[in-house]
Amino acid sequence: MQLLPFIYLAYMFIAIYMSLLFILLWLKNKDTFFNIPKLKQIYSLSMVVPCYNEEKEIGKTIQALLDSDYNGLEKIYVVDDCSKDNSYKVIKSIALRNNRVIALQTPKNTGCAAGSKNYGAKFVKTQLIGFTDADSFPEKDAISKIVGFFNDKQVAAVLGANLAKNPKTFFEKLQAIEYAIISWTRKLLNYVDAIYVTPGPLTVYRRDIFEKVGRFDEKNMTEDIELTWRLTYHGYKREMCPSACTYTVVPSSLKQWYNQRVRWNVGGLQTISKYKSFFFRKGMLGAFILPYFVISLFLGLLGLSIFFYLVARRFIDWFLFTKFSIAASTPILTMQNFNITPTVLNFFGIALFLLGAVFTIYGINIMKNYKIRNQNIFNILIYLLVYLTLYPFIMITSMYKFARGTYSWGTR
Amino acid sequence: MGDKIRMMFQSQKHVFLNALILAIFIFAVGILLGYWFESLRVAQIDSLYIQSDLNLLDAKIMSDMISQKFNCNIAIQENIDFGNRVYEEARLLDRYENAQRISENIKTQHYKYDLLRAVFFINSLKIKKQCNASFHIVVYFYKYEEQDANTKPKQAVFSNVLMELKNKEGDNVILIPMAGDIDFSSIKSLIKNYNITSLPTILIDEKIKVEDVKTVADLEKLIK
Repeated sequence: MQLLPFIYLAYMFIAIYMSLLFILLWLKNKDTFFNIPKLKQIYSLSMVVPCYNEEKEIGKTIQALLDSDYNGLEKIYVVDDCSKDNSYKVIKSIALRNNRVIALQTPKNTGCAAGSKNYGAKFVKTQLIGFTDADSFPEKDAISKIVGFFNDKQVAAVLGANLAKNPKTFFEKLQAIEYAIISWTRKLLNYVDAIYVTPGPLTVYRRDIFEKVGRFDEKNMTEDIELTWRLTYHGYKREMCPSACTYTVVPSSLKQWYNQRVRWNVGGLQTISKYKSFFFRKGMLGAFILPYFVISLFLGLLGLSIFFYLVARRFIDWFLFTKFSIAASTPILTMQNFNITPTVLNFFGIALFLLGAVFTIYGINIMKNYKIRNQNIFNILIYLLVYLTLYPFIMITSMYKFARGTYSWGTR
Repeated sequence: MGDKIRMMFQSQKHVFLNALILAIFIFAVGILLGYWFESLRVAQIDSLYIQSDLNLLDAKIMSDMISQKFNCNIAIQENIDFGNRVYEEARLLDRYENAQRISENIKTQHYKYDLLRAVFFINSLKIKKQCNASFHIVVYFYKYEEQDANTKPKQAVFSNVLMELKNKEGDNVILIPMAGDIDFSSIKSLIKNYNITSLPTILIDEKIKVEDVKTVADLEKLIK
């Protein structure tokens, strides 16, 4: 067998394996998927909201937290990272009207969300500390659904489901599909202790553990991924509550989206680099999370390399064929060009694509109770055929930036 | 035993192993189905080959009987019909071969056809000589085993040109495509006898060799 078909088959095997892993996890746990542990005690909680140039959204985020039905929520620390717009004014005006809201400002711009989060964390004295991004809006009952998971003393962090806020444009709807599928599969990974990120839109940490492991890493572009790996390294549990929903503003333009994903990937690379020595060590971190990230990275890059190789080969073939055809005065296109004989791999590819489509539709269906707009089949097709294939390109940019060390939050 | 297996599939701990077992099973079934599917195509080619083999035998017997004062026209027509049939089958074989990904059985079919075509070439030469026939024998020696970046598109254009030539000239031309780089003594002897030094090469009536891309009109001139 030639090398390329062998590589395609290897890709297919990995895709089948991962799909089956998620399907089995779902089948085993579907009855308890949305379960919420009964709250045994009221844990005192403070929320920290990092904010930079979010004058339009920050008021709504604070209001969403104030609307929370959780009785133990004592303070909301809103940390302005020396915004260039009127964010701090907005925060202060809300703080004047509500004594639960504390307006804070970093002495100078920290250049990253982790800086503002750590700055705010210094003021927190409650048992639990939660974080919400300034452009994210937890549902009224999101926090109260999360807190019950802390009955287990080994639980260090609990996260909610992040979904796209009010997706209107086509591009936003594609991201809404992605967010829904990620939320679904993240909970499934929870069952095998493989949650690899406690994301910014809504995560609550047990404060003493948060302090003990050393807060967020301010050098990392995805401080939420890094902290999760550190918690895993120390053997703490991370739990997810899929019924605790937070709606987050998703990038509306391709450029914003691309920059956001490059930042996420650079952060991922930083984290891999930091924990690379734990490959196949340290429980699920080395056994699954780290290999999962590295294999995804490798497969993405290999796939992209094959793609470029095939495109280049096709182009050279086409160029020479055209040159010779002109020399021979024969038609460049004949009926034979349309006489396509499908290969076995074509059939396998179609089967795998259908599996992916069913998986996506099923995932959306599971999460549909959470204001996911009706997604038509066209959106799902574009999501599978175009949107997901952009990731390897993002990876190339991220690796370049990572290698050169030229990464930053960009807007700061 | 049954309970143990059920327990294993219910346990969260074993889910990675369960997924692996199922993935291997599904993958193996897929590979077997793929192998079966490709074998069907090989079987189709095989049945065509058996028929062609019989037809060639028939054509050969006819050519052998020429000396016994049998009608030359019948032998010529039979030979031409066989040539057309083999040419069509070569195209089908080529399509199936390009779509083969798992098994390599079709390669054997290709070798068998190449040898069949070599026999057909010899038979055509014999008929042409004995019957003083007017048809032209165009043998297309192409590269089969290792095609470089330049050879593949060049051969594709050679095929198109020869196909056009055949469509234009019809029964006036017997077109015989043959791999020139396979390891069989009969093919090697042909290559040596006609001094074929590069592939692809078109050999017209045993005399003219065309190694560069030519137009159909150029080939027609060379034939005439």
